Amino acid sequence: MKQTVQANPAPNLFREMARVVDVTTGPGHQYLLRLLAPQCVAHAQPGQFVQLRCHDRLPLPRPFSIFSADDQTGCIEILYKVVGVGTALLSRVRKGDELALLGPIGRGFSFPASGQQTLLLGGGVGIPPVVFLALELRKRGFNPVVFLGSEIGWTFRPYPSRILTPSLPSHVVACMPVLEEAGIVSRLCSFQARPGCFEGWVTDLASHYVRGLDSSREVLWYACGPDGMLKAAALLAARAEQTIELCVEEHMACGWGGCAGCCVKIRDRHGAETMRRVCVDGPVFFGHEMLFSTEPTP
Amino acid sequence: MTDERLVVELRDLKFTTPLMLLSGCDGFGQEHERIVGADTSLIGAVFLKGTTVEPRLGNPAHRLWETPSGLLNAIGLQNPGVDVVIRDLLPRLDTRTTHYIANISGATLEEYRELARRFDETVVSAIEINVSCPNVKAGGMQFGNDPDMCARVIEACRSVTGKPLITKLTPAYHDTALLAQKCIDAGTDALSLINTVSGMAFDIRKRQPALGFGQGGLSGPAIKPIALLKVHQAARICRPRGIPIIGQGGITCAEDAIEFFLAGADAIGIGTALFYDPLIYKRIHEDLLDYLAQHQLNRITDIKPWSKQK
Repeated sequence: MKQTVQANPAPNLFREMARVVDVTTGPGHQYLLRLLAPQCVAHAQPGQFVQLRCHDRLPLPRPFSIFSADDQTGCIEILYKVVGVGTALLSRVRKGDELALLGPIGRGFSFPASGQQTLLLGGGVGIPPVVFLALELRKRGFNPVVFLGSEIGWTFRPYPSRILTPSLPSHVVACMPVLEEAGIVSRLCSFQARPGCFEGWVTDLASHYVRGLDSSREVLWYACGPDGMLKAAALLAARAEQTIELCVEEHMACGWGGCAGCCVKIRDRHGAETMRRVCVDGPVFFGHEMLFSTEPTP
Repeated sequence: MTDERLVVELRDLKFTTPLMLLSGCDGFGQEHERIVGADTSLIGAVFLKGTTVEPRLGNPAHRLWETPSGLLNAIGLQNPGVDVVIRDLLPRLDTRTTHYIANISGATLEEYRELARRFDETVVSAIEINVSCPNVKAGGMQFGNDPDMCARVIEACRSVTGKPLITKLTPAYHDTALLAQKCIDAGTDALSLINTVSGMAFDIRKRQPALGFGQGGLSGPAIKPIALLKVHQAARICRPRGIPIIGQGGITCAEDAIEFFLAGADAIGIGTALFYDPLIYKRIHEDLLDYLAQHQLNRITDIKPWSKQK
């Protein structure tokens, strides 16, 4: 049992009153919230998150992945589904309201060496940081391939992709517009028999896709989504002897490293089990570090 | 900036403000400095995370569960052990702007003695003895629920350190006055109360306890009335003996803090409220000064505890 001592933290978390600029709704009680938070935006990286105080009477804030951060407007977007008391109260906010925000929090995804192939998997709650990462990778000259899965419906209108990708089944053509328009290959997965979507888990499509790749070529994998999906993705990447970065979640209180309430079990460099805080040590960890308590999706 | 009106003294220690960050809420004293705008000069003391002799991984996830006006937690004293704390973490603390206070937890009397002895030689200003952790299998509340055992723990620590000792009491013991009396007789210099209230919650989707440890400790505004009564009961024993009390339990604003002063606290601890606003002490600091001005009081110590016998 060994615990790593962290370096002295430098001030890098901003607390600001974020004004609600826009709220749009999607199927399955999904909401896209646009917030003016210029200090957070100036430092936000894919994989990082914010803590939002959803209501004055709630004892705890709630963590949300950053979906987008726009330097021009100073706005961040978060995409969430109502799952409990906090998100139900958050869904009542209107344009012009203000929410206490803390961010950007955590160690986000790392960027690969130039020329490396990247494969991104996002499932449900894990879609926002993966889309943010894909667009950022594209800006840096990479050509990411993105598979997204949802069982509650999309907050965008999918259409058939015009980007040909030989190693995918020919009927799987539905893509995410914002990614397609940026020239990024994206495909959608769902068990709900949606037109053009792959019927199965994102990890099933990933498995199909990597079989068609040159196995000698290094691929950097990224995934965010439910625990079962993350474990399945970690197993797939391990079998292909590829590195995978996972963006994980856990119940959270402070979001700034004070309480150690959000710890997950990690295997450290020396092979010892240790507990790491999702908020400031994560939320991104390597797949080979994670010691999951849940079973992978089949 | 130090404002003399808010200075409080506990025995020989002078604190720039009566506001203290509680153990388990700011890691080993530096975590909240990640927040842009943090100002430790407005904090009287930071209580460091509970430390044990050996490293502890703590409890499995989930460790947190929100309840109405409260937070149920079962962290389980995760810490790297006293060796690492003293060797690697204490040297980083800047003791010029605030006091840092160690918090120790043992499974045996010998462990408490060993921890007190080890911290005696360090920069910490005082040692808080945690005899009230509800989230460990051995030690913790077992000691705190038995006034005689509690006294023996304090005596063991007292025998090896000249640092001020603060004993953190559980709300679970029914006779707070007796518990306080025993602690004072055993040599504690101050009391802090209350630790969390034991509780449980279920996740009805999984049909199992919400916390990985099964049960946890409840904090936050939900426990404030319990804390106020316990502080009031302890103060009747402590005040005549000159033993200060650090009142804690659900404090979120200056009004809450003033209630604790009225109940008999000399200083107050902030815990769960930091989780939604890590800079909340700044507002409480400002609002306490406003309260003094509005009520024509010169100093925070002019807020005298309420007493039936006027």
